[in-house]
Amino acid sequence: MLKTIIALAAAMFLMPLPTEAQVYPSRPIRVIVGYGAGGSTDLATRMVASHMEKTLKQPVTVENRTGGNGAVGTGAVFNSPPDGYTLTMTSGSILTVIPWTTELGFDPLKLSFVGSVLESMYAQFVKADSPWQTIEDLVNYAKENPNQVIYANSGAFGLPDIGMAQLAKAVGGIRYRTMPTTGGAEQVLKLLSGDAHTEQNSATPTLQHIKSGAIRPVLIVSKSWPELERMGVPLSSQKYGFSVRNLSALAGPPGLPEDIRQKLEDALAAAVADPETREKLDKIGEFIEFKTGKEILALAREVQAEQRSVGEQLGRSVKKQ
Amino acid sequence: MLDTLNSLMAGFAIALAPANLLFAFIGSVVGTAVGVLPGIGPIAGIAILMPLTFKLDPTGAIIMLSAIYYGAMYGGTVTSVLMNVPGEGASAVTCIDGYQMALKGRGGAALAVAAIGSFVGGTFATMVLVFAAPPLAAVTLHFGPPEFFALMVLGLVLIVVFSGENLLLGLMSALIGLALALPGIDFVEGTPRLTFGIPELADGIGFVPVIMGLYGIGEVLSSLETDEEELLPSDTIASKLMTREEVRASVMPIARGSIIGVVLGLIPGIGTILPTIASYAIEKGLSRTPERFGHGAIEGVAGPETANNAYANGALVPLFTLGIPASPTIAVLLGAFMMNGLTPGPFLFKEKPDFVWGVIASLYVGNVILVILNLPLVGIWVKLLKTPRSILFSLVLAFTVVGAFVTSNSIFDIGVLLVFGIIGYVFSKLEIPVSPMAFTLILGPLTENALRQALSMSGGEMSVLVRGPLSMSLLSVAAAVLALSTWSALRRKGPVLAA
Repeated sequence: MLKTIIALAAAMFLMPLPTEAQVYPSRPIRVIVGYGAGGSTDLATRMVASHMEKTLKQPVTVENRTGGNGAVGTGAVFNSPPDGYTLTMTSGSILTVIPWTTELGFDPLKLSFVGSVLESMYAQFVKADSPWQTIEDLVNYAKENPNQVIYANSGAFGLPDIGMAQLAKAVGGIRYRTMPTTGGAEQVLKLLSGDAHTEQNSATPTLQHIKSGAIRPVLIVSKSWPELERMGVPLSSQKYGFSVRNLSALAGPPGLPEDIRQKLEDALAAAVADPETREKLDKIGEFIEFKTGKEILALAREVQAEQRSVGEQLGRSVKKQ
Repeated sequence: MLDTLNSLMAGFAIALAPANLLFAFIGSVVGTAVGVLPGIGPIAGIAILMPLTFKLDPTGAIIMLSAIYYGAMYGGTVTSVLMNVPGEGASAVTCIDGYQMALKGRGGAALAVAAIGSFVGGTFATMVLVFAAPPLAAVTLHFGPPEFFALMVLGLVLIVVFSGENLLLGLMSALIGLALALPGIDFVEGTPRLTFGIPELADGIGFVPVIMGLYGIGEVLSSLETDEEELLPSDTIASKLMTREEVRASVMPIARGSIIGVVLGLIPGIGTILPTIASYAIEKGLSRTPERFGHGAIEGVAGPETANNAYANGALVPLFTLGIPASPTIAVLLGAFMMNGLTPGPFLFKEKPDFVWGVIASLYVGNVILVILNLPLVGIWVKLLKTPRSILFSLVLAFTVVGAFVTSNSIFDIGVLLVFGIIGYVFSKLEIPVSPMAFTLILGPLTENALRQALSMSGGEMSVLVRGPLSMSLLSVAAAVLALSTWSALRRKGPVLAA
């Protein structure tokens, strides 16, 4: 007995450690999602991960690390070794907004971008049994009752805040309160429970509640959202002259070797190209489109620049509080 | 109602197919094996082993995943009882009395009652899910930020009052835990807080290395100064099944643990700690001999282990009624659903009843298999205790270091493990309870987030915290518990406030 245990213990320590010479990937890959489970970023990640596993022949596990609207998860990956075994699925908030609203401590655009699979559709919602039938109802109420409307965002200050701030600006100023949450799924929960009055959210966490009639879309904030347009929901771009782009990107820590990055990009492309995965992705209700790492970085730069003025204003309002 | 029963029966017919039973069996074995390794809790275990299930059909996959989950959870209990090494938060509560039982030669009884309690809790939660899910969904929606905060305050009070013997020392330990919960990225503003430029702290201090250090390493260090012979459990270990008194003592804790677990499972985001600590506190509070707690009271194992499993199953209610994943494990399960192109929520029952009932039945089958598998294994597990302590503790040291590393792949966490190991040792020398520190470290961020959500709703108005009967009664109970235990401590005129 004793000898066996000692032998086992010795064997454990003598087990060969993975070396650089081995072909990547030689052990499981972790993808950290900075948002709660059940939101669009989370679900899309789980879907592509299950296909990438087949291409890369290693388990690809998904982990949720919430907080600071993606800042916690992305920050953790930013500081991980760039070996291709720790990746993150980032989203618009952390890539394009938070750098303007807060001192993040790192530049998310310095991540090594693998590619992108989706861009979120976005709309503003109220609870179905609320008195607000249209966006005008909500805006008028908010103007008559300053600081009474509670707006659920996705923690810290991110894309949902950009959209709401743009709306407030377009209608000549609204004062509202923000309630931080851990992401899209909790935003819906806060709306359903009546703790928040309104929220802007993507399709994944909201579709079933739109369908069941529990929540009401009042304004499409992304460039389009075909399903809601058919329901007669107005577009913010037509009504108020703004729209919000919520990107998403798979990325690794800065300095990820190009051959590894390319391998991951190919695996991601293969996942989106796979009909079965594609069908599942389509079901979550966002715009599904593959973009290479290079393309998504360029787009993120562009959108980040666009959102600078509103973002910085939000940031200043935070510091004043 | 009859429809529901029919559907459930159909679900069982699927879950009990020979192939599916085999998957459940494999899952339980593999899960237990993974759970026994410290640091790999049920969630990590499920995530790592998920690929095993990809080749299976959806029902088979979910059956295997649930079996892995239950197995991993039970594996964590095994190490908590036998080696004082909790693999995750919930089993930290089991360490308090479970390990003491093992030292007294009743490790087998602790493991047996944990398996039975888990089974009963799981059964009760499944019944609730089947018969009462839709009305209970309302509870989920009544728990806004103020109510969540009130519940957390109650949890913190229970931790201080019940996990030690001395009120002031417990409070001190709890406050240290709360302070340790502060570093990390601010939930509201996204700015780093108290991270001192150390990137690893952005994610906060990880509680897995902390609890493994406080309990596991702390125990290893303490054992260094004791004579090896003294630590060997007595021969009563041979009578591995429970004595009649032990069975009698466990019945009510298991019943209460089932209810506590299910109720708390309805509240999204509460985590596994609160159900277990609440159960422990209630058992100690109701006990006629509270002084036995912390020295091997079987109620302190039976209640929390039951509550933990009832919680895990109760959390399915918000998933199936509102589409809201209420716990990290459920989130992984949600992933498995989505892999099959299904979005959990109110429509799933209507659109895919076979699948939903299949899943519910499978979860239950996983539960049953685990008991069948583990009760006979108890005898083998306790034999581990016959291993000379020098070897057993060397292995504990090796496994906890590996466990701390794999959870985050960072050397930093090994440092955390060792530092908290020393803290655990020093605290045990000073007779300061370590549990309050471990638990408040986990509950701290939850409490803070709820408070800040509540205050942002009200625009900073504190009155929102007592906005309704629910939050008011929770806070009143917290105040009453605190007042009562302070009073009884003062009355006893102990050397210091002895609770």
